Amino acid sequence: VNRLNQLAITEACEGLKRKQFSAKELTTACLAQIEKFDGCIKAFITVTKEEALRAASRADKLIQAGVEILRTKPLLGIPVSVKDLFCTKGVLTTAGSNILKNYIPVYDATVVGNLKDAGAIILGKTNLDAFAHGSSTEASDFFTTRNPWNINFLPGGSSGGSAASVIADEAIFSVGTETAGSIRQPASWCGIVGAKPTYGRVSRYGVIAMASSLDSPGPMTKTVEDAALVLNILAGQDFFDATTSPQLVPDYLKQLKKGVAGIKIGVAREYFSAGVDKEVAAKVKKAVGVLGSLGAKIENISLFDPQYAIAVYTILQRAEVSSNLARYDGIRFGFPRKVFGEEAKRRIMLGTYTLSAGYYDKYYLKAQKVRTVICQDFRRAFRQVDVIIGPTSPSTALPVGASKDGPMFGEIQDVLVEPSTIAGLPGLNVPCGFSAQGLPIGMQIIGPQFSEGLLFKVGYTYEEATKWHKKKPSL
Amino acid sequence: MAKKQLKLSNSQIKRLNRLARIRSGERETSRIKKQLLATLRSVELLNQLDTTKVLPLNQVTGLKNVGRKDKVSPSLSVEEALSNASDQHNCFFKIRPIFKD
Repeated sequence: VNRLNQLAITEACEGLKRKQFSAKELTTACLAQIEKFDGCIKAFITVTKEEALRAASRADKLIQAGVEILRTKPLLGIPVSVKDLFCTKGVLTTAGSNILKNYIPVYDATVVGNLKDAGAIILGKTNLDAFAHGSSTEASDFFTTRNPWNINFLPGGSSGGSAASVIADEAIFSVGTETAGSIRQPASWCGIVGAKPTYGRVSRYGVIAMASSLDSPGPMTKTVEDAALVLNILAGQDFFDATTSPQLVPDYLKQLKKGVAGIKIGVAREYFSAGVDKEVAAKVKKAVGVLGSLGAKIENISLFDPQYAIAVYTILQRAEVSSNLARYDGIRFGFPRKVFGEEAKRRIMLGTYTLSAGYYDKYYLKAQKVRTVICQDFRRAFRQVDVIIGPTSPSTALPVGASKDGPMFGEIQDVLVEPSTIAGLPGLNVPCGFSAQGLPIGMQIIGPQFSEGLLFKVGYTYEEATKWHKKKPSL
Repeated sequence: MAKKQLKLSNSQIKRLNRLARIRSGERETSRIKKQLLATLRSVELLNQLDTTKVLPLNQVTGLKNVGRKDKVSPSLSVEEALSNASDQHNCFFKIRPIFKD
């Protein structure tokens, strides 16, 4: 029998519905796990124990009054950890940075509001690279989160605290944000499901901004079905974020279990090239083979060299960072600019350079033109195939200390996710095995804009056939 | 013709510091300068691509001219708006003087 904190959302909901346990028991189980293991894993910056227990009692009262409430509040009584980049009303929100180490927002991010409306119980706020600038959590101004599979290794990032909290069963699920890789890569390194939605599918309102034309919040969960369930709650147009799409949100659970017969899967040579660990490449190819045996058609395709996407991403992200971080003046909130860490300074300086008079055309405009080329390239590919599968990260988790080597660490780590993020595409990380060292390997399923439902269907079919998600680290 | 090597002068770095309102010590500045150069050189490969006939991307899902009704709705109270201020006076943010008398 699973301990309560090990449950997936769907299992926990079922248990609450059948009154096998209470929301308070479920929440207490997660809090106990945090108390026991987070001193070592360090996934959380803030734990909101009292608020969580109070919310759990409220949830229990609602469930006592009638389980029909679970239809309108599908996450009622489910404990969630929230990346510390989302504003939470009355709860410290640091972005992992010293500049905001005392910031208490007076409003909730739309994502947080949606979670609360759906009945979820917020356990606390998880660690990240400061301002989400990084792929390891080593760039957090506070501390480094450890990978629960092996604490000498990194969890990935920037949503590393979220990923670690989920695989360590400290939370039933988490929400993270991705600019390029920040959901998928830590999900891959920690062996969980991470869904980066289409740009504009989930509101950015109340998310401390990194690169506004790329940032996409999304679910980080134990199963694909959970990710679909959570995206149902997060997705939709938001009055407070003009870049959210007016496109209707489908029920992502509806087509989940319909199988992959006839679906065309593209395998791009460029995503298995030099630089990708052999063990990773082999496991991902094997996973594609499994989907083939389940009825999908596999086609070899060719995509634009991801090296160009790195360059485009570097320019756009630094430029948008420099303008977004311009707001930190130490007057209205937070500490003065001199508190910025070196990573943030470096990004602000580069962005300022590429946007400054005389250099704008050479860098920013050029990058936006190549961005058009990358979008066109994906459109061409998706005329040929329905989804593209490749490794999420070129490697399994790297050892603690690995990010300190160079200013391009993140970009090299995220080489396989940057092209799709630049084109605003959704991507889903699904665990697909383990290395000889016992570290998780993830594959990503990429589709056209707004094809999240299709990605969940492919991911779910694979997950059901292989059950990698059942494996847990021994803490 | 040999390719011109990208350079950043100290006065350029100073100008960037001013524009970005970032101050850093000497050692940090020289580190940042080195890394800026490395990053700028790494993005040079975009010049290999001919984009003369390509339009720059504006909005990735194709949204255009998004507007909303100009409607008054409840917002933050003064107390809330000031709750994170480093300093305040009579319901205003208090800042250091920016003009000399």
